Amino acid sequence: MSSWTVLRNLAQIGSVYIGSRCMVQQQQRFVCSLTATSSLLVSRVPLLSQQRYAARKGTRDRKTKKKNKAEIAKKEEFVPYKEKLAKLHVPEGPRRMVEVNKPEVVDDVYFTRHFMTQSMSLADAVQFHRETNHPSVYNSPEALITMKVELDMQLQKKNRYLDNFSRILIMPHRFEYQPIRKVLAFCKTQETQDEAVKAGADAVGGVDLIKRIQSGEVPLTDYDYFIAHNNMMADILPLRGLLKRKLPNVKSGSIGINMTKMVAMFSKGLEFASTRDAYELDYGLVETPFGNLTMPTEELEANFSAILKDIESCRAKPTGAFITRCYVLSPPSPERFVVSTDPYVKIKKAAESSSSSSSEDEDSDTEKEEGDSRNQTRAVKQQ
Amino acid sequence: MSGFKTRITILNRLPDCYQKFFREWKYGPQAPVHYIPEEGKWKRNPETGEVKIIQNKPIPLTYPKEFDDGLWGGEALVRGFQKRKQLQRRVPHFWFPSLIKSVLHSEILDKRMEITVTHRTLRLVDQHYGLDSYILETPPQDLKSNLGIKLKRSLLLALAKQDFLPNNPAKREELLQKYQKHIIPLEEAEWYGLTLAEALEKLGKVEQPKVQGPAINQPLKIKFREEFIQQLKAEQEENQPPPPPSSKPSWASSLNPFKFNKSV
Amino acid sequence: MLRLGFQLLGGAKTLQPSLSIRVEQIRTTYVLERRYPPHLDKKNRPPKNLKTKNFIYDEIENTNLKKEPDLKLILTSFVEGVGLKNEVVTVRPNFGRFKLLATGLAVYASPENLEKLKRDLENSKNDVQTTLHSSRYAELTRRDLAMRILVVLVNQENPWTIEKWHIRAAFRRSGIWVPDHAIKMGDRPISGPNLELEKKHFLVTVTINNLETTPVRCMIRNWSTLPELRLPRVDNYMEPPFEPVFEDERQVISTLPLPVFCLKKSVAS
Repeated sequence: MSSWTVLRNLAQIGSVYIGSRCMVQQQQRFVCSLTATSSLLVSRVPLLSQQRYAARKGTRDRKTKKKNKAEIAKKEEFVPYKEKLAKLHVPEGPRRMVEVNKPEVVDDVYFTRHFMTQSMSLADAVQFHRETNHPSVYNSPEALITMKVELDMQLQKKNRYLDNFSRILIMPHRFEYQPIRKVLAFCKTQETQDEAVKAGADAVGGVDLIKRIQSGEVPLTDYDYFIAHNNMMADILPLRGLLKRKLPNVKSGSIGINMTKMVAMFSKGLEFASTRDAYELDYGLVETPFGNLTMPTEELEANFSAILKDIESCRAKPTGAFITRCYVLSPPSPERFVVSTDPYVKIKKAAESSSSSSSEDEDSDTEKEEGDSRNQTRAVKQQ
Repeated sequence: MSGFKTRITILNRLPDCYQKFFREWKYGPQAPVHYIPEEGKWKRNPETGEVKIIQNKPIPLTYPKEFDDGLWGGEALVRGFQKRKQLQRRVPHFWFPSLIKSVLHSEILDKRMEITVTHRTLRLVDQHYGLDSYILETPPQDLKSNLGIKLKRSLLLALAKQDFLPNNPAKREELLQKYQKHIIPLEEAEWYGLTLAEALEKLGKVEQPKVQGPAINQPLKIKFREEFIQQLKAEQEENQPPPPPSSKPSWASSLNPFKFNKSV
Repeated sequence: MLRLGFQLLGGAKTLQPSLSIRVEQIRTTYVLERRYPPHLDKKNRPPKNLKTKNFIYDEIENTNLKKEPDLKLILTSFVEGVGLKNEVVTVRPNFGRFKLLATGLAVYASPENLEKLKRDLENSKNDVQTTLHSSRYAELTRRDLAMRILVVLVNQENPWTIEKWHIRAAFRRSGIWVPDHAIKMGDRPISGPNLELEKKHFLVTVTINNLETTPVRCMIRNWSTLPELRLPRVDNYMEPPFEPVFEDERQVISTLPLPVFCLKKSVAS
């Protein structure tokens, strides 16, 4: 209505003709606009309902499509085949043998399943396996004797576990088990090269050998291990891209001065590795033979203790037992005996460290040990 | 409260040992079972430093009919409410003890008894090293049930009379030695463990002979009246004429019901 | 807590609770706490009445869900698998109450009883405590051993004579620890290779703790390292009739109790 008054005022002020034309135009415009709005007002109710229905249908479709898309995306998540397979075969019980509510042994004759398991000395276990594999029974007196070592892989932090490690060790007393591995040695001087060849290296060479490797004349796949003398440390660095993890390094012991020892270790040493359980993450297992039944017991004992000490050096926690249990087997004998590891491995008790935690020296010691163990694990990764 | 008052007046007529037992049994403070009492006399609010007195008000228990047939070890039914959520109305809730039937052995009575008990009772029996010690060492307000009180009464009576285990005098001596501190005189043991009704009955029996004896404060009026009645009776007997001799039989005796039949 | 669960067996059509009620009672002991503690009483005044508010309780503990501590008892006689006479044993409470105390096999280890036991043992120091049983498990072990049939594996290619260590190893393989000094073998040697001895029985004597003695049946089974030479697989080879190696042992071998699985089979048939 205010616009009408404004127009009237304008008409009064301006010329009649122009003013009247203007007025007419203005009025027409207003009428037009009015009709347009009124028509809208009239037709809004039926129109709106139709529009809304159509819009809702569309949104529904869109939403359902979105949902389906999301579902499809979820389904297509990739799971490796091995993991899928592992999930199908979830083990029922715990991996470690649990003995609860069993009494201690009282008598000299007893049923072993009703009582706590008694651990025995290695000499006894070997003797028993010899009995079972005797020619008059199972007839395999030259059978390999194997140890299964259960480990506690729990690190000091919660939900952190030690990674799998693999080791190479020169046995105090050698026995036939693994095939001899091929070793390539990098040495500069003639003396060291001779030494390596004497020890049984399959290929020996200096800077020229490195160049030949770079040019592709020497195939790397023929060799299992690469070792280097100390004075070749800088020269082998260009091979990093080719050798990758097999590049000789100090931590894994493949760079050194004593070529004889290194070659012997990498070509003839006993190779063993730990396997961590997929479900029980703190359960690790090392399974390796350590001799034949024909070997004298003292030699077996030496081998046994050497392996145990090497495993112990990879320990996860500075305190507590790392080796929780050790079985000794000798297939085809169906028996397995629990052998006490106490005489071979010193158990670091948690109580001792906690009682003397005030002294700083001890703490630093433990830290050092932890660092060592870390280094070793790293070394293992490189192999 | 009126009933309570009358009971008290009746109680006062009973012997002191029974009064003491009854007050312990019914009104004595019970051991806390369903709540944890606060220790000490006073407590200080850690924030404000305000000191308040500690008053432990026990949770009221309800004793159902079955309570008297068992040994519940201080447990009973708790009637109350639960408030499960902050903004929810309270809900009535009863907390029941778990009852089991178990066989308990009494050394003194030389009996095995099947009794309805709770796990707490069994634990208490173990802690006291036997049913007898448990019952003798526990005050009556904690035994509470009629069965417990009766058991205690029979044990105390047996100890007072020293007549239990007639076939095994050696064992009896040993037990007497063991439960020496629980032996009370026979008169007290006879009053111990009676319900109020039983005690009143016993009181009646004790007091009855006194009532039947010569009445001391009898009014003279009654005495004189009786004398007068005696006198009147004597006079009546003197004045009464002797009964006349029965010369003539009554007509009824002449009747013979069988005579008529005979004639026919 | 009393829960009444109504489970209608006939479905919703037939409402007959008398037939189909399943009463499930869960009753436990509770330690409660007032959510709203009552106000303090005034001095020298009668105590205030409790309000409804004061009857709202919270459960703070349920004693029946706790594990009961073990019972300490003194045995008055030998109990198999539990202990010797006059031994102080620790057992689970319900086993102790109903199996030992109620039957008079044990008494509480109260200070008086322990003192009495000490006195009794001092008085009877001269005579040996018990010569009937060496330990609590010995009798059970003896009975189980008598039921056993021990499989003694022998090689069917190499020559053998059954020695003590063969028996010891055979026991060990079947889960029984027997030292050398506990085994007593017959004088007559059994040797091979001899396929006729397959599935034949002979006796050895086992002595537990130098006291309990029992004969044990041993069965000879032949075995070869080469699979093609092995004897065909036989089922039920541990079932009677038992053929002895030596004819004079037939009586004992047949009278010893049968293994448990044989007994179960005979009951089923």
